[in-house]
Amino acid sequence: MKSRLARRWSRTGMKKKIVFIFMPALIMGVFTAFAASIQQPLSEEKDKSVQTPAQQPPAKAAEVQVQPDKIVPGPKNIKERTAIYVFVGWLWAAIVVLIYITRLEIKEADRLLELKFYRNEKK
Amino acid sequence: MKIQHSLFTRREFLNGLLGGWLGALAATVLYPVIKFVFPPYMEPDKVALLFSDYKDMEPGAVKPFAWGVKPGFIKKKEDGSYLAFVGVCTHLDCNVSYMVDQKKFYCACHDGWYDESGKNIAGPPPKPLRQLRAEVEGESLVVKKEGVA
Amino acid sequence: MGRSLSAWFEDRLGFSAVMGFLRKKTVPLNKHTIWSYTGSAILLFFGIQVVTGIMLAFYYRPTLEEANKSVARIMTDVPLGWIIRSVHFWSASAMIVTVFIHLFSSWMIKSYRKPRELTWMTGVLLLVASLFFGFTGYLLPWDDLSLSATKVGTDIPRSIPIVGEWVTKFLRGGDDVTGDTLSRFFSFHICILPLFLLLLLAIHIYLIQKQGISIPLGVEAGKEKLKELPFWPNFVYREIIVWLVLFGVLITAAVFLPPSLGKVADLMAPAPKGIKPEWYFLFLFQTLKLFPGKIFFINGDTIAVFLIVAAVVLFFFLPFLDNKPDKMKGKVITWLAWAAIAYAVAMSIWSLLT
Repeated sequence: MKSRLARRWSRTGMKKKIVFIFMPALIMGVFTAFAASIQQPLSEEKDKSVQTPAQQPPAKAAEVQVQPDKIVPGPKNIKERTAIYVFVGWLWAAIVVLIYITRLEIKEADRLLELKFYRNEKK
Repeated sequence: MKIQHSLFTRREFLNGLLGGWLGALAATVLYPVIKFVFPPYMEPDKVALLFSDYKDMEPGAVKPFAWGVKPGFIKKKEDGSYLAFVGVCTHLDCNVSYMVDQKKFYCACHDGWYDESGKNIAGPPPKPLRQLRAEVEGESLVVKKEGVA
Repeated sequence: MGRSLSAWFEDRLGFSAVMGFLRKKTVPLNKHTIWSYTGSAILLFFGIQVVTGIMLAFYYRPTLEEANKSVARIMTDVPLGWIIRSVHFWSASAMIVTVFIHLFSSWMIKSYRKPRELTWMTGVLLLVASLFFGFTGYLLPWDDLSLSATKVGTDIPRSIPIVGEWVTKFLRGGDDVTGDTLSRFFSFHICILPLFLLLLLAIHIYLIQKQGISIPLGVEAGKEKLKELPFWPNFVYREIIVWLVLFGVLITAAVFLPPSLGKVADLMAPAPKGIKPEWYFLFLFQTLKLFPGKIFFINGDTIAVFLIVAAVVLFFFLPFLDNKPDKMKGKVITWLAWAAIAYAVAMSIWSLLT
């Protein structure tokens, strides 16, 4: 008993299949090339990332910070890293659900179009 | 078409579903925006001052210091211990000054007066000046919020 | 209550006319309909730019002394600041990519035929505004790379005879790139350009609504009834799906590939190795490099800049040049368009590799 998805896949032509498989690879390739190009050239010193602890009484230690060469942004600890993955995961989950619902809406709107439901409003 | 005993039509259900999930997405996006726009308030837990600056104060004298970005006042009590105030008027946040001759704190915005222990005695201020603890720890005079170790 | 509230507004504003119009508006359905999604995609990215830009402006300090520090603070101190900055950075490039795709698609299907010449021309100006947005924004972090890129970029107009000096002085706020340049660029970036772009956009969008979406040449020629889709709600639902995917990809890229910040610009320091402008200027950068120092006593740069300006002017007046789009002349122009795109891509890749 083939699933709907499997049956849909069998129906697609070869050209579309190739595009479908290569498209993510192509997009990732473009992204990586772009990401590589935005990395600014490192100067001689090792690039240090600035670590400011979240709560810091200002007069506590005279923190004379030598101007770091390059500031690399990003999550500071494992908790933040996990939070990022959860956030992005939830974002895509919401997007997938929304696409599903919108497809239903499209089917409905197209059905109404066939019925000439909107023609009356136009008049 | 709404069946008599149903709460809503299929159309309303689908539209509600779409609206609801769009709202969820909007909330997901709004959360980082809110966090960004409201950064955490950075009042210090404690401030360490050089004790030598305050050692030679006379009992009853008042000297200013910096409490984060607000002005503060150190007062040496009669028994030699120290008391600290946040020099911000409790009425509408203006910075107060210390009137040496009258031994009172004065807020110029609306003529508010506090006595030398920070209690509000005249004018609109509703509460006394906020007090902080000031303790000598080695070479430093450490000013702390109430309840901070 | 909701119904009488909207009735209250309706009595005073009459906005149901807008909704009525949107319901009547249609989008032609043909093999080129897919390109109709690019316009609203640009709006999506621009909207994101405005929101993230305003947020960044809450913490950014546009002075020579504080600019770099404030961006560093946004990236380290401010909660999730690095994400907001990253989204702003990525959405900028996304917007420009989409602008190019939008431009090329309407170029290829010749949407600029009568009566849509003004739509094209406002579109070219919108492209220029977008590129200028990118150029001014690039300086704002005030790090060593952006200073060098701005120095080079604002020096190029100098090669234009007579007016060149004035253009450079206007851009820089003086003879050199200084703190005044930063203030000026900031003013352009958050005030002048947004107003300019919004004005052009209003005209551009009004024209599209008034004239409808164009029907490509090949399709027009003697088909039966042309298929069309109502804008509301059918096309809008499809647009929502496109927006959702684009948004998801943008956020994912921004979160996993945030831009870094170089060290603060030093007006006295020599230029760092490997400076190059943003990717959308690479083909121009490479073109300039190709020209020799002097050709027949004229400065090589001057000729290069002249050629580029001439190309832009021809580009702007394209609807009038391509006045016989279905004849041989039209086909030649299309072929030239493909050649221009190939040139730009090749130059960009060459610039990236060296």
